[in-house]
Amino acid sequence: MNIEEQFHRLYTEAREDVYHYLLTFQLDPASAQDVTQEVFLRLYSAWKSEGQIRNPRAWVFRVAHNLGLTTRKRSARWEPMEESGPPAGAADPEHQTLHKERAQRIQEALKELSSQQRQVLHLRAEGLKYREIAEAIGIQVSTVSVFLTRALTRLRKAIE
Amino acid sequence: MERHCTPEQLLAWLDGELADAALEAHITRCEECRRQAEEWGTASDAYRNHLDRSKQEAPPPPRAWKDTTELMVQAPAPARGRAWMAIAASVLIGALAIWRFATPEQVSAAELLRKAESSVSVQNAGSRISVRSKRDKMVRPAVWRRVRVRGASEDRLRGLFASANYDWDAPLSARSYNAWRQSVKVRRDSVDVQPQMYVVHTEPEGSALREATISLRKSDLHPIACHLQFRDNEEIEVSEAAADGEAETPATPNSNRIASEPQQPSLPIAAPSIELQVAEVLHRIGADLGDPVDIESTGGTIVVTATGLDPRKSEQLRAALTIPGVELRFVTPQQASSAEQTQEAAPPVRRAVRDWEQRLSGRFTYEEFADRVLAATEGMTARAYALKALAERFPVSKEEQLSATERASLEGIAADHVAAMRTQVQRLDQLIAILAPTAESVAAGAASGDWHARAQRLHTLSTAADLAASALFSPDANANPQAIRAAVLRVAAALEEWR
Repeated sequence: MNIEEQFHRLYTEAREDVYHYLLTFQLDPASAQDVTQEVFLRLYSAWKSEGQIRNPRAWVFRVAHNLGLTTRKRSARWEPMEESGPPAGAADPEHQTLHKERAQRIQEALKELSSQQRQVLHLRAEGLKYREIAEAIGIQVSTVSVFLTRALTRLRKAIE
Repeated sequence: MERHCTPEQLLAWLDGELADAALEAHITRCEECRRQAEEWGTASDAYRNHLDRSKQEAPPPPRAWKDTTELMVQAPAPARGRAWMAIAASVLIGALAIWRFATPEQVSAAELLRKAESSVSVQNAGSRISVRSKRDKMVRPAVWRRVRVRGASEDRLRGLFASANYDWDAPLSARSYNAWRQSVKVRRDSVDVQPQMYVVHTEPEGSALREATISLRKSDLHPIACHLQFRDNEEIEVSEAAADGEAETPATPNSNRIASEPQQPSLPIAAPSIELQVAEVLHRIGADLGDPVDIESTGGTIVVTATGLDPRKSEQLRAALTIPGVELRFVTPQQASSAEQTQEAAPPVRRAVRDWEQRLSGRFTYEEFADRVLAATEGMTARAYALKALAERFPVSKEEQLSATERASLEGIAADHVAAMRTQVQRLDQLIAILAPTAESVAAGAASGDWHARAQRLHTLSTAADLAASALFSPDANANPQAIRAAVLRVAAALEEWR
């Protein structure tokens, strides 16, 4: 697969994930979309210039993190939707209530985490490895593990 | 006694990244590790489900995604591309042109200008522009940053720009154009998409300008020309001066003014030099070792943003960073970074502390040892990060623009980091040597001639050593001091490449 094909594939697969990651920086949807496209534009440029990028998906999230921070500093904050509704097909009112309560507890627990802890959790869920997360958000690798275990322990307590 | 799994092992196993039969067998047997894995697994699954639902419920992107072809064409060309890349780009541009011929392109002026602002390379600040009006003509630097002696013609031009609220110091820039555009309350924008450029046209109401146009090169959104039509029928054309052909000339008719006062040069400082000055200042006050200080080059201006610095460091930075053309901003994060420090204490310590202290032969308590190792690893990685950041900020293309003195200064900063890193690595090695007195010999490896590559290598190795050393603080005493020492010695060997 040549660079163009790889680029096309990654852009198609990952742009929505990057867009959602950028929404967590409180960017408005239009800015998040612009920054997402800017990230991939830079990826393509870097790919052409360097020939090979070790883990393009991790690269994309690292650059998205940096651009997200920069853009947030410049623009007004946008309050994203926080609550998560019931899953599709969960028509049973009892299920819906249970689900809503659980979602609220998770949301509350997430609010208690620091932004870095939330970012570590998010990037880990996106499949990045410890080193890649550390590089993306500028912390030490050992700290990633500490943040992740703290965050998971808190979430576990919240959903007990 | 069987050792428990580290958090890293458990999490990697949960995510399917670690297929280790012995580990799996241990988790099956060990109630404590199994319970911990189940708890984290449940939390991890709950978070992933939550994330998936949040994605479904999040507002969709407001516009259709650009297709890959368009992104490929817009991507800045690599500094030293190969011929085939240029050919490929031409083919893409051709393909896109055909596509655009068939489908009229809808481009927003606001979006285009915003992108142009962020994509402007600071190197362009050293270039020259030609400014022509009906009465005057001058060739001048694209960006003026210093106070200069001005002639009457220039004063007239400056006055015209000021009347329109348009930045005379950097007239050919997307930032200036957009700032002017946004200062006008009522305006009509249009974008003419041409084969090689976008032409943004703005007709304002209530401005000294009747209309304005800026032409942006399609490949990198670099501004090529700007046309300003004033209400008093004055017209000003600003364009790039030929690279070597046009020397700087003051605005006519006062052609002797600037030349007669050479002690006050009007040339801007070359952008890489300013960046180097900023790097030097940050280095001098120790703000290049992981402090949240960003340096950004946008539209010919260098903006240094400090986020959440403590008052003492902020004051130091304010006093030290007084470089013309550099803007300093302080940002207070909405979510206080102190949250990281004031959170709960370290996770429950389940380490075999006594076992460690026995191995330390009474020279340190476990706590003292941990503090010293952490201080050394933090010192080492902070320097490695700073060195890598320096190398990335001054790639070869930018370094080539520096004078010999400036290069020496850059080398001096790098040498400082290397020397400090050497000290930290020696300390770390002495500490780990208590646990692993005999060290395997580590080859220095082939020295690379390029300091950028060496900085990258040091960063990689120090990150590996940091990760290895962090095993000392995992819940169980199953770290391998021999492996940690080998990782540290690899950093020491890489440092030898700098001698």
